[in-house]
Amino acid sequence: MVRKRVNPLKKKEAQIAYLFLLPTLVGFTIFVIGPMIASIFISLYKWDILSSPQFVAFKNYLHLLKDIRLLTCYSNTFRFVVLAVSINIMCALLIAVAINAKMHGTLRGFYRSAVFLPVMVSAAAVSVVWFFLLDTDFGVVNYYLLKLGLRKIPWLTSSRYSLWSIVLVDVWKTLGFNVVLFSAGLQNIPRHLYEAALIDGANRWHSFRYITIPMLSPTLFFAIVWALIGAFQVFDYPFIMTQGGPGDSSRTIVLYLYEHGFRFFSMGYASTVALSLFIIILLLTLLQLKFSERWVFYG
Amino acid sequence: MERLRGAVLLITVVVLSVVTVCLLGSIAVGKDIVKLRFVYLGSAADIKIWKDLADMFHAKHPDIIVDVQAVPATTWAEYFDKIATMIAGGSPPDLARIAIEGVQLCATKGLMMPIDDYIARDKEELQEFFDDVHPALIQAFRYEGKTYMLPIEWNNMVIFYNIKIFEKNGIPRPPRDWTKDDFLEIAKKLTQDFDGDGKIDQYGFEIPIQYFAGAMPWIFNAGATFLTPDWKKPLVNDPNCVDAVQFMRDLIWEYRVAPPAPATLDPLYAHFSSGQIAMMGGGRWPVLQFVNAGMYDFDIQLWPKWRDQVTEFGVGGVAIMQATKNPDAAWEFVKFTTSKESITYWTKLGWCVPARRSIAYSEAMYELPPKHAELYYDSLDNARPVPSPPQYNQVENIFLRYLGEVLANERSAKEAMDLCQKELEAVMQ
Repeated sequence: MVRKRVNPLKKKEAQIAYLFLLPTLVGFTIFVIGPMIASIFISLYKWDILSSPQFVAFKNYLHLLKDIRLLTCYSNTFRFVVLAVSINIMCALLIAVAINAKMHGTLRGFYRSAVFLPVMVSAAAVSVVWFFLLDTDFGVVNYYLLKLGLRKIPWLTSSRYSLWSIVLVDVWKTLGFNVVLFSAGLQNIPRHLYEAALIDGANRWHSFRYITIPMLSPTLFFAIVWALIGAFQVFDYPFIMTQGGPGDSSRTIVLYLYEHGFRFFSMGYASTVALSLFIIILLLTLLQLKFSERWVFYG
Repeated sequence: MERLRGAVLLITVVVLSVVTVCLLGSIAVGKDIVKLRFVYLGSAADIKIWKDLADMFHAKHPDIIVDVQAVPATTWAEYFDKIATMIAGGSPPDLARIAIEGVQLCATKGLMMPIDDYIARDKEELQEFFDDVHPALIQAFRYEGKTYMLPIEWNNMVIFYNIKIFEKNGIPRPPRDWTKDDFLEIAKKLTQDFDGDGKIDQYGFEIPIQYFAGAMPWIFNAGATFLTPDWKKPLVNDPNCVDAVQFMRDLIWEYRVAPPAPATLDPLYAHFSSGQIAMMGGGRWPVLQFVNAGMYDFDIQLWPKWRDQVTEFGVGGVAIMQATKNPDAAWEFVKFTTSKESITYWTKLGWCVPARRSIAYSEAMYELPPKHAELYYDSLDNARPVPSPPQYNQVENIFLRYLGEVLANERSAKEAMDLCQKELEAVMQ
């Protein structure tokens, strides 16, 4: 048996590294791991925060399986995730490619900060502003729609549009993050690849499809995983703009669990719903990791 | 090494001095001065009122400091939850402003302390207060034989109207006994398209998807009670209640005198202040909103008569929390909030309707519009509190979900209220 010998210097370095990681690890344990484990236990209890918890075993889970509104909220969330993530990634990619085109550095800086600006504003503030912009009769958006000869749209007051409106605001708010991510990725693609393709007679579409996309795929992959996780947890926009309505049409799963935990004082059931969401996000992320081997290219 | 030693020395000195100051401070505070933590639902906008009250109180009781803390929340349910979280987290407030919506909820959860013993003790001192306050307000804070608060402020639902729009269209001030048909007639007249582009520029009315401030006044005047009078069972699919919900839907979709219903009240303040809607419902709290927006040309009238003409009201006070270690000091603050001095102070600022009759009819009420401010207190003789059972937080949520569907014209009033009834029955059993 051969024992790996550890270089004493390396060992010391590793110790120092752990020391530096300690603050983050402590924070992560207290604020993320701790509550996660706690919520597993809480999901087995009936607990209203004030009185002592009552053990109910799997009653919350049984209720979860019979909850029809949970299904509606999950279906809203899935629709939101698919719409928001796909529109977000596609638009961000287009804008990033456009910004990456030949232009003056100042102009590029301007465009980049313009799309990035909404990312830095708090989601609550964004929601309040959009709430007024999307007002059916007196909102700015419908004002321009009418000017263009189109019909006004009941953005937030009809179940046909409420979810779309939330997608719209979410995309507007988070687009900039991906644009910056993609432009960084684009700048890392060596120019000579495009030049070689040009000599081989490739047109613009070919170089985009066969050079840009594969070379950008690690960034794309990261962006998609990140956007998916964020989209599953969407809360602020429906909470402020529609309160989940009309009816349940824009109630997302996190809004639903918030209502159970923090409005109806049923922490047990809220934890159960949270765990179900955790499992879904975990499974989806694992699936993506698995499929990523097929399309992500780590040059 | 030299520098390190210097740093250590400096840190030691700083730590020691901080500790000393803290110790001295705690001795000073701990001995004679009682510190009370007071929370209220609100934002930075109204913290001035409470801070000033705390200062006024401190001037009278130098041994008690009231530390005011705003708890931002959009609904009472959310606010009570935050208080519950503070208690569970080990830093319970001593005092909290609580409205009727939370009385039964907080009482059944054991958050509030009954104050009957204190009232009995200070009976003579309080007699003048009880004589000055309408019994309906005092009754609202009793639950299962116990008293939890003394009313200091309240709001009922009246119709606000834009005086200028009324005058421009030659509509006189409606009388007290105007009916819902009169109301509809006026709303139709005031729904106008100024430039003929097919887009309405001014609506007669607007309805928020709200419980107290949206649906309940219509439900009460339609002759329904929403819950049984003891608030034990739901009655939302009662034909009169369905009628009321249907009427609200019709205002938007049939008569088209109101824009699509928003989920909160904020758009209504903005629309009314800028003349985009001619009428809206509210208590006295919108006055401050309008005045801050530079809008002074408004007046009020009672909610229009239908099968009945009752006034829906909600009332608030300051509760002593069960968790307090200084109930005696807290009680002193509660008594102060019921004093003429404190109520007069905020009445002038246009916050709520004062619980004291003598102030509700005094000059203090007329420093700001509306001109007919006497309507508020007059209406109490035929008033009914907003239905606030212990399950209030769930009842509100369920009802608003169905009301939202009806007002979005996506479910019939009858079907929605039948489903709502079923869900409420499950929650309230």
